[in-house]
Amino acid sequence: MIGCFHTPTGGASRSRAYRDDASGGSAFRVSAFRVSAFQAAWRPALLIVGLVMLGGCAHSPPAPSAEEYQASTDDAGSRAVANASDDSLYAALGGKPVIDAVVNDFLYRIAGDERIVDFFANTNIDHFAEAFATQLCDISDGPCDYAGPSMARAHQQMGITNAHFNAVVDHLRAALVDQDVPAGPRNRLLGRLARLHDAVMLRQP
Amino acid sequence: MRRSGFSFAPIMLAILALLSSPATQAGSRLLATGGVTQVEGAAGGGISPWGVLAGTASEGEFAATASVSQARVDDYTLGVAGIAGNIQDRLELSLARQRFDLNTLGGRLEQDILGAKLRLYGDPLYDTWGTWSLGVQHKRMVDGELAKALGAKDTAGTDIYLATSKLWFAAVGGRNLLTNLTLRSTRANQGGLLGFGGDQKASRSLVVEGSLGLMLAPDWVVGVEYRQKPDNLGVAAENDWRDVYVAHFFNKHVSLTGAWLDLGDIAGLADQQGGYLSLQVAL
Repeated sequence: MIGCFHTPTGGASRSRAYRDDASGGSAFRVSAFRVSAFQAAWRPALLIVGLVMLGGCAHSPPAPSAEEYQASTDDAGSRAVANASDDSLYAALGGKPVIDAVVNDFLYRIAGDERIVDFFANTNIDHFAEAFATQLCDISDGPCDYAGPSMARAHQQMGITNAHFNAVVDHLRAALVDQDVPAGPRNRLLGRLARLHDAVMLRQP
Repeated sequence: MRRSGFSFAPIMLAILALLSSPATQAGSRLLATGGVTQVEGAAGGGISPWGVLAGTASEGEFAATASVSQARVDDYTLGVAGIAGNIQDRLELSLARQRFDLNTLGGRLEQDILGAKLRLYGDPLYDTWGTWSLGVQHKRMVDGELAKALGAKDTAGTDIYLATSKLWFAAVGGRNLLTNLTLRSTRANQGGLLGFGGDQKASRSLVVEGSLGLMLAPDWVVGVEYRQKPDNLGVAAENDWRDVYVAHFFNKHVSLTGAWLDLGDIAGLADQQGGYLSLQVAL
């Protein structure tokens, strides 16, 4: 549904995509194999949160390179305060700090939910977190431009059911509540995200 | 309940267990999106069935609910016990037993209601047009003598209804608003407790029911309901039903609903008002 970061398959782009892993020592480094094969071998004990549902992108269509992505989010970050209009949903949510906290909270919930964690198995979680935060920023009229794949493409053929979709929405709402986002902005954001349902479910088997 | 010597202890223990284990076997749909149990056993508000199906089951999931409800108005007491099953958020099957005590007139009327509700289309949260369901309620009186004496044609009947529900995000003061509209074809007098059809009108009537629910918080809903009714019996004028309600969802397993009812005239006794309480447990 939401923020989605594609895991590139090409060797060159993969090395770029995992630049953060190499430098930052992320515990979530995951290779980009086809999702079906990966799911079969998946061990919950690894606790590797990948993407998906709300951004789970185990497939490997062409994706923006990490550099491009990094550049766009850095740029967005520097403009965040200056460009967010005070009456935007983005401002009402609390801006970048709150959105980042919500995304973090949300990812911990996904990691603990065996119904959906497998969808995220194939993903670099740090990049997913950034992409998801960028998408939340973009969709709430913040100073960001989500340039990732469309929701239909990002989730195609993943076998996502309404039960998976609902579970992810439930986690996001819980994260928003736990991060003290007020009811008004919370519900406005959920309403905007709810409209992505049809696109996410468009190309499911 | 107390009259029949029914023990609450096992139920209370079960409820306590459910209250303390919010993750047990719950469906994936969001809290409160299955409504509560209406007086005829279907998922809905208090008096009207909604377009949503019971519990929180979604695709690939199953849910079961059990409920006990009681309405006490000036001259009558209605007790309802019901169970419902939800198969993959597609089909709801329900069974309810109504006991209607005529506190002033004396006596008791009983009715069994077998219900089915098929979700035709949509989701209240994700679809522009909400969700739409087609339902039937087959009602059979246990003893129809009083109804016959009042002029009812039959002691069994089947209601057919089309219901739609839609959640509007941040609609009122930033809170989500659930709207429900139900169109029902029925011959029932006072929901069937006074039989079906009558001397004034024997055939079916098309009636409208509507309700609003404002979600003050994800686990608190307050709202109003309205249910239009036929008026088939010459000696027992019948009015539309109305109520205001508040429902609290402790978690996906336990909800408690309270309401203030205005049921109008019933069987010759005017202006019946009173309270309503309903407890639902869901798995």
